[in-house]
Amino acid sequence: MIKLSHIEKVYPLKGGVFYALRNIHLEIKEGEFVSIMGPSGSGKSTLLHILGLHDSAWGGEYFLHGEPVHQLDKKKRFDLQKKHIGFVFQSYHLLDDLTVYENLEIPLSYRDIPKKERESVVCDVLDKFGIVGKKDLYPSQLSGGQQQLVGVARALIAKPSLILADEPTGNLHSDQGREIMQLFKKLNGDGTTIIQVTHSEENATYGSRIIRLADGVQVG
Amino acid sequence: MLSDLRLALRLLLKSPGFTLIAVLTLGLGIGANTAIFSFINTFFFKSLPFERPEELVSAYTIDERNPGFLPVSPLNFADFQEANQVFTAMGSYGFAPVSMMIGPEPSSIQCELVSGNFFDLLGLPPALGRTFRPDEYRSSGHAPVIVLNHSFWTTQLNTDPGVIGRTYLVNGHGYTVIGVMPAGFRGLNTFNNPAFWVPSTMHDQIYTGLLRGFYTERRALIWNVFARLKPGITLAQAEASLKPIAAQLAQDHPAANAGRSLRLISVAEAMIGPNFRDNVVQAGALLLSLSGLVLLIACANVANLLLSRAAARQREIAVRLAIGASRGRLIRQFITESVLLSLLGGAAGLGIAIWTQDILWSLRPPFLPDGLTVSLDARVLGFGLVTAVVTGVLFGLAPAWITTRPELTTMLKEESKGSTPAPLLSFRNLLVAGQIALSVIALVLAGLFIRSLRHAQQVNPGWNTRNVALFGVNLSAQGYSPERALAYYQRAVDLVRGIPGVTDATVATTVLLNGGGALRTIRPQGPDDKLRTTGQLFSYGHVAPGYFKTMGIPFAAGRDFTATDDERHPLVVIINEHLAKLAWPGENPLGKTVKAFGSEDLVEVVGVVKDVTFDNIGEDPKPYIFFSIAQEGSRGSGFATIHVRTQADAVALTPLLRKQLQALDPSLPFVNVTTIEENIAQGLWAPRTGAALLGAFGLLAVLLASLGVYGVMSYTVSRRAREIGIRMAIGAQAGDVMTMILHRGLVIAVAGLVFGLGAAFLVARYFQNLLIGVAAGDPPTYAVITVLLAAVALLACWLPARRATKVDPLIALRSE
Repeated sequence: MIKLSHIEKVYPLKGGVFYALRNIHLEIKEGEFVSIMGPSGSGKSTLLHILGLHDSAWGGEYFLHGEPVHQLDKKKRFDLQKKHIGFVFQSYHLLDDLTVYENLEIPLSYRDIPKKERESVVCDVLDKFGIVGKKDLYPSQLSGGQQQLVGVARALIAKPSLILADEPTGNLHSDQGREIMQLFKKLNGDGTTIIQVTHSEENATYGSRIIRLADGVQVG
Repeated sequence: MLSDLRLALRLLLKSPGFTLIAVLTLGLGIGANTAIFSFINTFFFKSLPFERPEELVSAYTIDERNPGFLPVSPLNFADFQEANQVFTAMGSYGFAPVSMMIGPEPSSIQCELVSGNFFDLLGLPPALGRTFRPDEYRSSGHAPVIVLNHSFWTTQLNTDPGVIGRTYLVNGHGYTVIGVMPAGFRGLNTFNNPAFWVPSTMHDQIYTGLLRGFYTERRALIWNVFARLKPGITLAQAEASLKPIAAQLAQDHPAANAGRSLRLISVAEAMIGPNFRDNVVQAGALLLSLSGLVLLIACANVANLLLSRAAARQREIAVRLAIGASRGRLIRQFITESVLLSLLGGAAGLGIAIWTQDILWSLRPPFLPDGLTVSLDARVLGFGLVTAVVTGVLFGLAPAWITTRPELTTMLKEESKGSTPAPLLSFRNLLVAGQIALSVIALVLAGLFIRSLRHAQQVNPGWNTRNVALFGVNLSAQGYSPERALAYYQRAVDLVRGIPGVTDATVATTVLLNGGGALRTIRPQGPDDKLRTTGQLFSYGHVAPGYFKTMGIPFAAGRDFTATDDERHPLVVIINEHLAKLAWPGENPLGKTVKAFGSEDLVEVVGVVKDVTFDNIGEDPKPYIFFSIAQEGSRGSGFATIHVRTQADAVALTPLLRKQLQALDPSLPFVNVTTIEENIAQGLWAPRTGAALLGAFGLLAVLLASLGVYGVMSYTVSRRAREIGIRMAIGAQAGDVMTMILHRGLVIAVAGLVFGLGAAFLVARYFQNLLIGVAAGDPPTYAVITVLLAAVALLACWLPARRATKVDPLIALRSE
């Protein structure tokens, strides 16, 4: 599903260049649950944003579902991202001015899905995640765990084949964190490929493989 | 789209303070423009209520020795009518003052003497009754019928439903009402509002005084002419085909037509008078430019507000991009928000336009008729709507463009701390500098017009304008013979001179400082015929003995008229120095002679008066000639004005004077009962109104611009709170912080000021001819505006700078 070769991310500084990522080679198969670990500044999030096509200023080769991302223009990368990738953020990043229902609906509207169909998909997801009763609430009216639940639901709503999660339990207490990880486990079991960045060894145990980084270099 | 609209509405409701300020700011800008446009619409864009108005043209005499568009003589009109091949028909209309019995007393009113085909040519049916039948305008003096103006019917005749068939005495003759025109129709001149229209075949009864004699004078230009082009004929083709006819007329009648030809313009252009159309267009352009400047400043303010708000929404924008929103989609959402905001501003603006309409209408020029209405029609509403939408896109696009390109990776990792100042050439700073530049332009124009007004008010016209009461009469319209008229004048002057409080009295056919009156061809005689053959038109008047003493116009040489300067004695005139120099340079003008239009008699110059301001404040010295009222009785018995000089306030004495004068002839209506000072005030309408409106716009502009500077500097301080905290934590004093913030704000302000001063000079030069006695580059105006703007900018920067010095380093750093 994902194949990275010689990936490098460089920041030019006055004293010389700084490598945020250097010579990364990686292959992730469909249905894997991979955890990226490493100390602060090791390049975990940088790698995740390259995988998520948020960052385009890097060198090397990146194939996603066989598509050569490194050769695609901005628009094609954007289309590829919309089709295949969902994001879960540490700080949930729900839109404060939208209700739970609207937060779930908006990725579908950005994909030009007709209103009728959107309603049906959102209702299914609300039901699946057990948050039907919260649909008219705003994010500020939810607990952190509930917000992250909505964040995961939002990431899944457009049926991506890949979920990228950046410290998804970083702002949650341990019980809530476990619930989210169990949810990821279940989603992975249903066939969704998941890549998470985490500091937590416990969270990493939910995955099938760990990739370790240090100073921008893959060390395990 | 609906969801964008819903979200936009929700965001506006969520920040009521922001929404209120933005809507009010935009409302002021859009309201000012809509209000000004409603007036411009009335004068320039209102569709004409005529059949196929694009085929209608107005014809004017052009004279190589007298600039401007001049009317046409009735005799030339008849010849053009007969000889032309390009019109389906030609029509005419001419203004005529008449006396009409509406109630028990006669009223002095204005009507229009029109060709019999006037209404048919316009394709305009009456609202009531009928218009003229061909048999009513084929032969002279047999059609005593009138068609009423709707506003006259409603205001003076109480909308009498039985008015058709009713007969009224006009100039002592019975005239039957045959029709009433539709509401809003006032003829072919926007600034006229005649009470009724009468066939031109009745000219002998309708025209009085000198106008009656002019009807058969080929050189007398008293009719306005219009025509309908034949299908397929363009205005240029028609004009080209009329030129040979005009040349033939000049050849056949050289004394009347030498140097004269014909020019056509569309009726739509002629409606506001071709001679001052340029000035009206320029004044409209000035007002619309100024209100446009205010709107641009308002836009810049709201754009800055939106930029500040967008900065706080960067995380939201990044999340939207991350979950699949395209940049175009986000820009659409931002534009939806700004257009919604501007539509609300447009609604507020419409309210402001309606509210200010009466105020603006009260500032209208004195010559505008009451029947003219300024309304918010579909075109004005459309203008307001388009302005609002364009405004929304204008101030929304830049913030949308700038804020939808965030560094996604950075934004999703952490909240922006915004600890560094924006670069000096950032869009936000350019907006503020632009606002200051625009407000400098607005203030400079306002300052120049205020200085122009002050200059006009302080101009010494060279004669005593204080305490002169005026009573206009039209004796020939009342059936007075010239002899009876002169006797009446003498009795009136003798009567008022005996009233306590009156120091002097006189009679003249002209009223000074009243905007100018009739013109007459004068041919000074002498060996050098350079001037006497030019056929130039000169301002003139007929005055009674003692006129110059009463008015305080000093003599340079010669004598005043005396009681013996009547029809039994040789004809004499008094001229001004300017005419003397023009006609007989370097010579003594006394004893020289002139010939005046309408007579081949030689008239001797017996006096020369100083050059004073005759017609308009700010006018250049012009030639002027005075005839003795007793020597041209037929001319003097038309319109004349009794001038009464009083010891104290003339207005206070006016009721008593009127009562006493009325006793001389209870049936004589007085018109234009006023004072010279009121005439001056009316004459200064344009500079006064210009100064008031431009001053208001200038203040509004500077208020909005100062709010803009304040807002941006406040935002800068809040964004730099952390940096300021760090600086203070490592030893910066309050003065250092103050200097840092002020320096940045003032650099932006000075840049705007310098650019604005240059631009203001270029703009002011374009409007130079609207200024009286003040140059476009008037140094005091620029100096005062510079100091004022610098002070306002300093204050607007100082307040946020002072707040910056109060930043607590501990709190600023902890809030990170």
